[in-house]
Amino acid sequence: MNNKILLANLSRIILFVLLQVLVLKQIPMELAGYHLMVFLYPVLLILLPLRMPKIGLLLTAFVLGLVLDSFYDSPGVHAGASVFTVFIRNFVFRIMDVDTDNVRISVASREYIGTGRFLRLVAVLLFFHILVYYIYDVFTFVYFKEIIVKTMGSFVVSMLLVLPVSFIFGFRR
Amino acid sequence: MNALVEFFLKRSSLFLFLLLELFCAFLVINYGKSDHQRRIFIASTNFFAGKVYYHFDKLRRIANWGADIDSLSNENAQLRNQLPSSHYVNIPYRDTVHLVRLDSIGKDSVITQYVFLPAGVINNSLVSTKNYFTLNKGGLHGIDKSMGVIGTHGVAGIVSTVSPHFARVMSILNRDANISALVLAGGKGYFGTITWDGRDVRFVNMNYVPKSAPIQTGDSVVTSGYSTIFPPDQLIGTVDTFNVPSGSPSYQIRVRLAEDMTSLRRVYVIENLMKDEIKQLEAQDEQ
Repeated sequence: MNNKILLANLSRIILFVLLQVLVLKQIPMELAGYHLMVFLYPVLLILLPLRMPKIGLLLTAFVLGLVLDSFYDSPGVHAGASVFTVFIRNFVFRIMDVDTDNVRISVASREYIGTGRFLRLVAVLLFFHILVYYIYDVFTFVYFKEIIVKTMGSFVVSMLLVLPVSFIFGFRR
Repeated sequence: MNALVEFFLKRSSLFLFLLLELFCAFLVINYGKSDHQRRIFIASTNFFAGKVYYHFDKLRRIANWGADIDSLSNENAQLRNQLPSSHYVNIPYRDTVHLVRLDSIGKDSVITQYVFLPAGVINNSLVSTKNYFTLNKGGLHGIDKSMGVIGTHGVAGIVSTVSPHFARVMSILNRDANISALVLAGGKGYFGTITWDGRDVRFVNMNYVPKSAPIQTGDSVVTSGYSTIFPPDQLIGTVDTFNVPSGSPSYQIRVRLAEDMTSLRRVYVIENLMKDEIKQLEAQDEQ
């Protein structure tokens, strides 16, 4: 990984985290009495370099999750979801036929793998991320309905945001 | 033994994954549920987040200044409404010995005569000799023709035309504007009229003040309250220079405006609730 890619990743991470905690966190949204959240930062996890070692991926996701937790005052919740998301990332890549061995592709961005596939990829990973997030958040299956409603609601509003964002922040090499 | 090490190395990421998830679960269980525990977590991780939020909050407050100022000017308008000069005192002064009998101060003894409505200036031109400015409030907000307009420091103008949402105000810097004023000199008020000569936007002229008045530089010039437009004692400005033209019975006073008309932003429109009664009375007398 050369310096340029590192810099691009870092600046994207800072920008998205700030966007997440300063803007998206402040948006109040409700569905059937449940507070919803808009998730943008999971896109960062998807856009981490394709051939990053798995250990590195997990640790990066963990630290990123803790940073978000410190902003959201929610110990371990974002971290747990983020670690889970990067853990299933490569399985989802395989299912979606993303060629992780192609040296010409460094990230699974919209430009490289196509808009349709990128959005399907984001949809799957985002859904699981949000689901795990709310499982951790509620931390019991007693409130099954709450988890489902919050997950579905947050998933829809997050996807609505990811769509324009993935077009605005393009990746030209 | 080698096989065991290989087994773990092969699945190192899986074990790291499980370890991290367990640690997250530990965090959630240990720090997530009670408020006290949560505070420990927040205190230990919040150096960075707190700093970011602190600076962002500063930015947001700057962005919200407009709204804050709006609410402050609303509050100021309410406070101005409570000033003694906004009220009409309804106590009959008949008894010369006991000037005011306590039991004569009834519910209606002090009634509001002047109401201050806050408004913002959305357009202000000072290039002409007949200047007007525009307010962001109009007839729907209770603004009407011939109401007085004051800024945060002093008198600014008189409403000339009103539409439902906006009002056009004849600036005090308009040759057609005549405002009845008092110059406070030696503990007394001397009547005069404020006009503008169309030259310097910082100064207006005051005429017809009798030359017997002991005027000094820096004396306050306030509204007289003789018209139905302004309540008494609203500051207009201070005496800058004065002289008596030869053969004239009165001073010519240059008054430095209290309100900076070049940066007029927030104003109060003054409604006189007794205007109709006064006008009616004066009209009756003239017949």
